Amino acid sequence: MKALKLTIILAVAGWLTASPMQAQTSRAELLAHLELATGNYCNYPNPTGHITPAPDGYEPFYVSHYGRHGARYMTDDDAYKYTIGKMDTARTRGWLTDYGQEVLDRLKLAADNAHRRAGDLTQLGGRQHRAIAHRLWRNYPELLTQPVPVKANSSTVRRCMLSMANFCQELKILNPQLDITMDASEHDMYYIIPNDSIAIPHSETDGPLYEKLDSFRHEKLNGRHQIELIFKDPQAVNGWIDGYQFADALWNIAANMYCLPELGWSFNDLFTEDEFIDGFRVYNASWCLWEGLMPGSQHNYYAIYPLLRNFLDEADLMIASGGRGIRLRFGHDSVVLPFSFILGVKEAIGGTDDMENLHNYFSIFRLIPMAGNVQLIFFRKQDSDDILVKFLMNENETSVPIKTDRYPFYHWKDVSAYYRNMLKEADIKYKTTIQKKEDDEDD
Amino acid sequence: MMKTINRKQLITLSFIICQLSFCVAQTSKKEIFKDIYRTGSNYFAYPGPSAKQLTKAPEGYTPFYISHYGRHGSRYMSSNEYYVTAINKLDSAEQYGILSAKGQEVLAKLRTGYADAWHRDGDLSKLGARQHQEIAHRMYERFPELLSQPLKIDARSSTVRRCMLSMFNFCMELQVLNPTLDIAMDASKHDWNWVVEDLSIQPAVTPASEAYEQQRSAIFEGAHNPTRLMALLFTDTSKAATFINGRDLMEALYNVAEDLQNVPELGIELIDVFTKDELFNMWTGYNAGWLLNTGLVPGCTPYYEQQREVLDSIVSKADQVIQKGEPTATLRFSHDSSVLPLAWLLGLKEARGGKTDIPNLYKYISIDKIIPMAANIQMIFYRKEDSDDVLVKCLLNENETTIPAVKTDCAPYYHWSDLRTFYLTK
Repeated sequence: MKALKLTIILAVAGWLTASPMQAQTSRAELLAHLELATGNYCNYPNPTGHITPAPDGYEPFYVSHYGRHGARYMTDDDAYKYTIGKMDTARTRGWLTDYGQEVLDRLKLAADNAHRRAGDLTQLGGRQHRAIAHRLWRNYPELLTQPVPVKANSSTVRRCMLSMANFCQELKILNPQLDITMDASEHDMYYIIPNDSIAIPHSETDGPLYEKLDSFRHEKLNGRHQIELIFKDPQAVNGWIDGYQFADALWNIAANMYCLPELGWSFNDLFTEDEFIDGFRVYNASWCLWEGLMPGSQHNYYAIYPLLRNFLDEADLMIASGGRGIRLRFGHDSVVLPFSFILGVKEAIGGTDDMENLHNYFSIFRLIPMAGNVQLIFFRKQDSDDILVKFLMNENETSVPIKTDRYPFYHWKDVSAYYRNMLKEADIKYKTTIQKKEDDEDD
Repeated sequence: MMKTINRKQLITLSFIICQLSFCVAQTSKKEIFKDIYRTGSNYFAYPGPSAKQLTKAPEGYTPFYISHYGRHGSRYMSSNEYYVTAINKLDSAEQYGILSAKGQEVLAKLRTGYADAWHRDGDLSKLGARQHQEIAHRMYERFPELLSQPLKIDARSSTVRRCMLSMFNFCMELQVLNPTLDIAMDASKHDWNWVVEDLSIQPAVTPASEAYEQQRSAIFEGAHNPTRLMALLFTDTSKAATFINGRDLMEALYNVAEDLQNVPELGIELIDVFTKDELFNMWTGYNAGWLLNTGLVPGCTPYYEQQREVLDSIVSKADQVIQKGEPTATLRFSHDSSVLPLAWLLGLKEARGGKTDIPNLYKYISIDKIIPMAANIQMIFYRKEDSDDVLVKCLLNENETTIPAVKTDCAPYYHWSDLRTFYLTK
């Protein structure tokens, strides 16, 4: 009776947590934790630590993980080039305020630190991955203390490779018996990064959404306040400096400082709290549209279906083998975000084209902070064919739109059937095939 | 009648011994034939150290710093073009019906090898990962006094993936052996002048270089005589000659056959399509090419200068460690094109002694001894309590080596003050 009651409670809880309404982000929350407003620059938020015990008799035997690289430098130095370029000229012409001069000096220091480090993993990025690996070991000791194989593949981008190295290094310290293989090869890129051979179905409404986003970006990041702070005569620089480009560059620099806490530098003083949050809203909407998560947008997440297939196929192989193992993949935000959407995890499915209010339903800091990840933990029970799987978004238990009587655990047969059907319905076409057909027609 | 030898005489004696041992570094055809895969030159898979025991440090001296500079481990060919060339030509011959039974066997092996190598151009192979784990393991076993301490270790790699993965495997093994190590790994353009040669430095081309290059080219082209190979692979060599450039096919098959030693798990060998003499001759051409392109032959363009900044960083880092007094290790992971000039700049006997006798150059310097896959140079620094004297021992591919140009009274150990002067002034 007690067990039934618990099942009902869990089922209701599962339904509740499955609702995207839970993913709301209030302005108060962002004000209290301004670091969250850095969006995809956000330092990896510590997980809640809540772990639902596996049903009686079930033991973890397999972990399938996809993680974004940890904290990094900006991927290019365009933001520094534009701001320093403009402000340096302005200084020689005597156009900078005293405050503007001080900001320029600070920008130069930051640019110097970032010199030849575009896209590199920062020290914080290494620590984030070690911490995630550490918690994986701590949370699933039944599996992680065994001499199991660990297969790790990374994107060929250095920050992802170094994330993999830090993750694996930590695991190896905790359990020297792990048999870890690491690789980063073009050979595996068809599922580790967005597969650009896949033809994305055209959407008529995609273009207008981009026009809407463009207006939204220019309105929110208009640069008026920053120009007033930095230039003695804002009117005089009108037309010489692009307010949007200037504000966007400064916002990215300010947000990126959260990846380099050891420097102790900040550019937040260039923004009011509302302006800083506006920057977040701009990128929140942008990511939602870029990856095809906004209703009416082009389904760019099609490029991630090979990763879903890889998760399914490798899990089936592991289940069939009766073995145990850890499967790690390291890549990018441009994969974690659409992948979590395809899986249907509750944090990723609330997209709306109401850009003003989107953050109430969908927030990228819950999905793609630095080191953001999706983990599937598989459990089995002796003398039973039933395999249970739990979905974790950034190590927090989450829900997917599949029926279950054991939330947050799902029956693998239901999960597998649901996603295999999704793949079938997606009817994936590869560009080369289509291209060839067109060529044939030309002939 | 034992006569006491004074310090000065001892130094002179050691110097003579060094010079003598320097002559031993010569390589003979017989030696190459003993392990034919040596003809892979820089494809040669790391053979491991030949000597198990190392010379004990003088009494009272203990190691406190290791400066390690290593090439990535075994890798796939950096381009699969050689597979494509060979498969295309043999495939066409098969369709024309002129592929011999041996040719068909070769084609089948090529297809298997290529399927494995597909989209893996330049990647570290599984063997390459193991090589680095094993080098780290031996380093720990050889210097436990140092490496069992809770050291902070700095590891930097070239930004090329195979080097990074080599670093990961090396560091992971060290970490297993001593979980208290605090290892920081990085691979950034920021550190290029610390890790890889600077190709923007272009030394003036010397007049002698051109003459040497002509000789090398003649050796190389002469070695690529495909007559026997064509008759082995094709039943109608005149027909084959209408669409196959035998010289290019030979070059392609040499590269594939030699690189296959780096993916032993495939269990494929193609080395038998060549005679030992053919392999030897091609190898002498490659060997001479490497030495000329690095500047190790008297009078040729000193391209090793591109690696000077790395040498400077090795010296200054060592100075910092000595001054600070805190035991540590510095690990750098790079390429064959970095290890070879560094070996020369460090004055290691295996890299010195190049002669202008280009056809016989291999007798004096043989690159399979210097830059096999996972090649490395380790400098082990020792100190003694209550003494400022710092001793250094250099290991090339984990074998003790000497520096003939620098005198010492305790070979293979050198006084850092002498080495330092040599590195900064010569």
